[in-house]
Amino acid sequence: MKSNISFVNAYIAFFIIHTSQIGMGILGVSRIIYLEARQDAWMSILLSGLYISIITWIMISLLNKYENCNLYEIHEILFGRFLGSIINTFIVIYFIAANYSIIIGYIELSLTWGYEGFYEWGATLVLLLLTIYAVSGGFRVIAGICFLSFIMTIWLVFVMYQPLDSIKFARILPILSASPSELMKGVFKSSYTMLGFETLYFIFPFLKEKNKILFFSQLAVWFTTLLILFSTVISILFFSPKELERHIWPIVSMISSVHFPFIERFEFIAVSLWIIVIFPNLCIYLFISSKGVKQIFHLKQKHGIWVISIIIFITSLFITKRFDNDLFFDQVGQVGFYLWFIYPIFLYFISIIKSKIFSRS
Amino acid sequence: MKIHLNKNNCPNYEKIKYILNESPDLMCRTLEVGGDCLEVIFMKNLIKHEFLNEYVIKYIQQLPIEYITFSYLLKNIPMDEVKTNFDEQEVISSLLNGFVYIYLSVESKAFMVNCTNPIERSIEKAETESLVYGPKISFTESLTSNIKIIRQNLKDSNLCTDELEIGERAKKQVRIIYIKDIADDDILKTLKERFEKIKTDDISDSSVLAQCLEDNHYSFFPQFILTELPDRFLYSILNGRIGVLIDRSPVAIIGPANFLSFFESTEDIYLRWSLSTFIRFIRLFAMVGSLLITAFYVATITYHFELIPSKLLLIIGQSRSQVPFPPLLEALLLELLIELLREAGARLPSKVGQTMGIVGGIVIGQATVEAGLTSNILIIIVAFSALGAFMAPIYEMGTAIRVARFPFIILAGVWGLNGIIIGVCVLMVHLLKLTSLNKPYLAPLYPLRIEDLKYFLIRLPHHFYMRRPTVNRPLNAIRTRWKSKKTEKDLDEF
Amino acid sequence: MKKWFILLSSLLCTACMPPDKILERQGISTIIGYDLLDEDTYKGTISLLQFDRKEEKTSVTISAVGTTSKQIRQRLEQRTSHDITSGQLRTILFDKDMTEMLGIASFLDTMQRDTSIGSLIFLAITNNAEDTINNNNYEEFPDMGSYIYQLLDKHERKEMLIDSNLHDFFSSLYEFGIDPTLPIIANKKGVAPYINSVALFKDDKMVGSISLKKTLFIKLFTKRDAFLGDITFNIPVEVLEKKGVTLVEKIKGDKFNITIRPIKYRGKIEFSKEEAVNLNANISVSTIELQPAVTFNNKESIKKLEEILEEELNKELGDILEVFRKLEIDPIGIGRKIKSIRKYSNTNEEDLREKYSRLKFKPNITIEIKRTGAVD
Repeated sequence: MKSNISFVNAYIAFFIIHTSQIGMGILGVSRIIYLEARQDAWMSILLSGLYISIITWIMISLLNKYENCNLYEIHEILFGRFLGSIINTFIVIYFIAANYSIIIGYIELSLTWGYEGFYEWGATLVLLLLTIYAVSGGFRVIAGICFLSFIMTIWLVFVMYQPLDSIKFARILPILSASPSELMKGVFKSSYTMLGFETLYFIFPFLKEKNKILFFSQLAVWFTTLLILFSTVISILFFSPKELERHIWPIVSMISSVHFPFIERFEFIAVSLWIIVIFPNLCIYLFISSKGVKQIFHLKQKHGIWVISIIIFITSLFITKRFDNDLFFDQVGQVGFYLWFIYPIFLYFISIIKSKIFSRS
Repeated sequence: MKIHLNKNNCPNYEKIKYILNESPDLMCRTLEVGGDCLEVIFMKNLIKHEFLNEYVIKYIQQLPIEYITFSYLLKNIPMDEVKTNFDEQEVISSLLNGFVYIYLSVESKAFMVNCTNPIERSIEKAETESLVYGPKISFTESLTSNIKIIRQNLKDSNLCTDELEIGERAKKQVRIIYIKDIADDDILKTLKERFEKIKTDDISDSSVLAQCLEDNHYSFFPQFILTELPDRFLYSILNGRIGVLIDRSPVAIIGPANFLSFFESTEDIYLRWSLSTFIRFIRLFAMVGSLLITAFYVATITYHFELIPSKLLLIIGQSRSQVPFPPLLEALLLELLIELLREAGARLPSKVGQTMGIVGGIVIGQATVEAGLTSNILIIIVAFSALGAFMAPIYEMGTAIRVARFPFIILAGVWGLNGIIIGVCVLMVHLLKLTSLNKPYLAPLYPLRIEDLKYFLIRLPHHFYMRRPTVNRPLNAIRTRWKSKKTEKDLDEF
Repeated sequence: MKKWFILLSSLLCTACMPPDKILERQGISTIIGYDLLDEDTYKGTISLLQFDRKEEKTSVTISAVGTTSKQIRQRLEQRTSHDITSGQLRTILFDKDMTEMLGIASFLDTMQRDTSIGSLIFLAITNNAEDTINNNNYEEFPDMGSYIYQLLDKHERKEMLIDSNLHDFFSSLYEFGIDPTLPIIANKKGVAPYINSVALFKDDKMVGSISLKKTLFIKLFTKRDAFLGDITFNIPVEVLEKKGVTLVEKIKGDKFNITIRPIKYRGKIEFSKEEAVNLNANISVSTIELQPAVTFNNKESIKKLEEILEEELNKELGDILEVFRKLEIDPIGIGRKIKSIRKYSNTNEEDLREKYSRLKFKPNITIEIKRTGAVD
């Protein structure tokens, strides 16, 4: 369909999906789910992972029907230009909001850990410029960022061996004390953290070897799920219940008990390194939203990224309070839940129905 | 000689003299042949006089008159390179290249013979890339002898040395060297297109040429490997890269380069694999350390003193207590001092240079600490980072790292650890964007080619190297067919 | 145009710097102590590192009075030319009166909220925090804070102390079913401070203390691979004879002294149906000192000796559990174990305490002499 697309290998799908799932969410997710499902929080994560893996499968079967189309184009094909554009606009707004939530989420974390007194707008500006610089390199560079960011930060998992010293197994017992509705609430609340797999809808046209994508995206989803599961289980075992409820970022508080002979207070380094973790998220979300803007308004992507960044920058001047932020993350998570946990199923059925109608007539 | 000059007889000489702006070097020798004359025009400083005397003038004078014709001379003159069919422009450039112009006024025909006397130095040991182990021969300024070295080391009929000329005014010969059945055609095509785009008066050296051929002119990082070692050159060519040699430069250009190839040395191949793997990791570690350690010091002292272990805290604190500058300024000052010493040491004659090192290292270092201008911890750190930058086997990469250190220090002084990480992100994006001859710069790392890592990141025993690295997309991928002689023996068998 | 914009915004970015905390301008506190003065006024004492090379002293102590820890800090700030920071804080000391009467949770909340304070700092109790910090007899360079940190760290690793850092304290404080403990540091004139005993807490108030030796019983059931410390027994000869332990030679005195060193242990709290708790533990030990040096002539005698030691330990454990029950505290975490059983998982704190007071404890420690050193 298009000739000027730069293709990347299918295995990159693993890195893109995984890195866009892991971001600010994982730092706080154990507490958020713990509030709903108590010590069975880890089950909510597993359920959520299972559900996402099914959704991913549905997404790929839809995408395979429209080869080399991203979601924006599929919308236009399915619903026509006008209705499609309305839905696309909504999706673009969602991605801008998600991008923004990551930026303010990180800034809040960083201000708490050692950067008190720094201007929020300054930090936003820095992160936005960094993202623009990266995204202007095109898809190949973004894929590279996902890959390198994964390599550069995955070792943080091994730092967790130190908190393992003071875990108490009794805290996770008894298993399955939460009711199914509590578990489901946990799944619902986990959406903000688990989101990121939806990028598959948009990166699919850029990938080679389409038959391998299912494998790599499932691998990514399960790897993420296991990582989040691991961090949740450790934080449940590490913190006592009331303590876990207090900490905004339990994982960071847990890393604060890590120290090495040559470095004390490792959490300060971890917080700084977290920029590399959120960097792929920012790049991918900016790329996808600018692609949407191009689809709807026919604005060139290289101008689109500037427009979107300016919007984000201006918004960042208004929301600065901790409480507002929390509400905002919650809302992004909720919208994301309906948009990417529920909507893909509908979309799939609509496309099946539509193709049946067409084949009949 | 002026006696022989006759304006009517030598129209060519006058014309050439006019074009060459009355150059005093231009000579014209007129030989009497029967009634006619035979003009021999040449630049007196550029030719080898024995050649002209023995094989041109003496030879012609010995010949019986009837043999002195254009066709006979052209066929029988005892010189290897003879030119006919040239236009006026070519006459001039050939004269400037050391040719001799011979004009037979009877037949109004001319030909040129090559009596060049190039300035050559003998082949010596490599200076900038010194090896402990392995061949030590290096390229010289003469293209002919460089080609000779290459040909002698690689007697392959598929070794192509395509000739190009570059420079509008000062024309220079350039050779593109590759192995036809290994090198990728796309890369070759890109390189040749790049050459076509260069429109300039003069390319003074191969490093200038390399900068003209680069993909991104603004980058800190070199995008071609510059080497003066023929064995490194050949190793690269055999792995599917393309080399460029330019006349009057002892440094060869190799492309496409990738980031890690600047950290490999040919010595790695000569040494045992375990040692060379270790050394490569040390080099990479030194590179990262050299880039970040001063910045890390500045960030910790300025913003994150929490990170310092309690045992170290008092030592650093005490050495900092007298320093009147903020850490950022202190670090920049000391880094500049080291650069100053290095530059002065490089410019001075080698005997004085050594004293400079001692003066700088001991006297100034000691004195600044005692005066309380810097802390001695920082001296150690800066010394380490200076050493680390010299670990890169390719000089250009070392300089790139030295320069790239400063933005990191400033970022660390402004934003602390987050600043360093932002710097790392920018660097990461930059390296991802960078290409060399349209091939990704971070190649075996991203796009990931695991089987290539054994070439660029680590070394393995030699029988693992059956195939050429795939980053250069070699046409003929098989390198060796290793015959395994191992037969399974039981423990009690001999 | 775009390039200029980027340049301009980068300059703008570099213009906004976070406030710097340059090392030598900080008054780095390594230890802070709180004493109760009146009903709600406290005295805070800190020890600050001195970086001046010309000064002999490497630390300085200052105190101030206030009602909250941050107010104290503010007043401390008035008395020094440096900014007081707690990034390198390693120990917090509390006055005994304060912990007994008012509780310390309200003080610790700010410690947890403040990210510059790590979660690995130690908490300890002392008679008078100000005097302890001002004590000049410390062997560790450079100041009292480092000394007490080293002291506590060593004891946690090597000796008989239960974990007592901020995280451990909080995680037992906030969990019902277990009560925290903290070390008590004794401060006497002319000697360096040392660890005296371990304070027992009910909620955040100190209610009693046990000797260091007895912490072994708490460690046995709360930690998996701690260092238990050597255990010494003084067994009357009659007991040995009554049991029928035959020694190669006769003992002259009337007591047989034995010190054992635990190599490995495994403790488990088992909750049996009839409202009883089995505290099972299995310790493998090596004998390191016997007074008088005797040789056991057969396997039988060793087995019997093991039984004697077990009885002794079980008795001690039973006693200490009674003490805990009397104080209505549960440092071993029996309540947590109960809560992890499905039937009781929804019990609230009151019920749990009430249930705890009715429980029957059955200590059951077994000892296995594995090694005897180089001689038999």
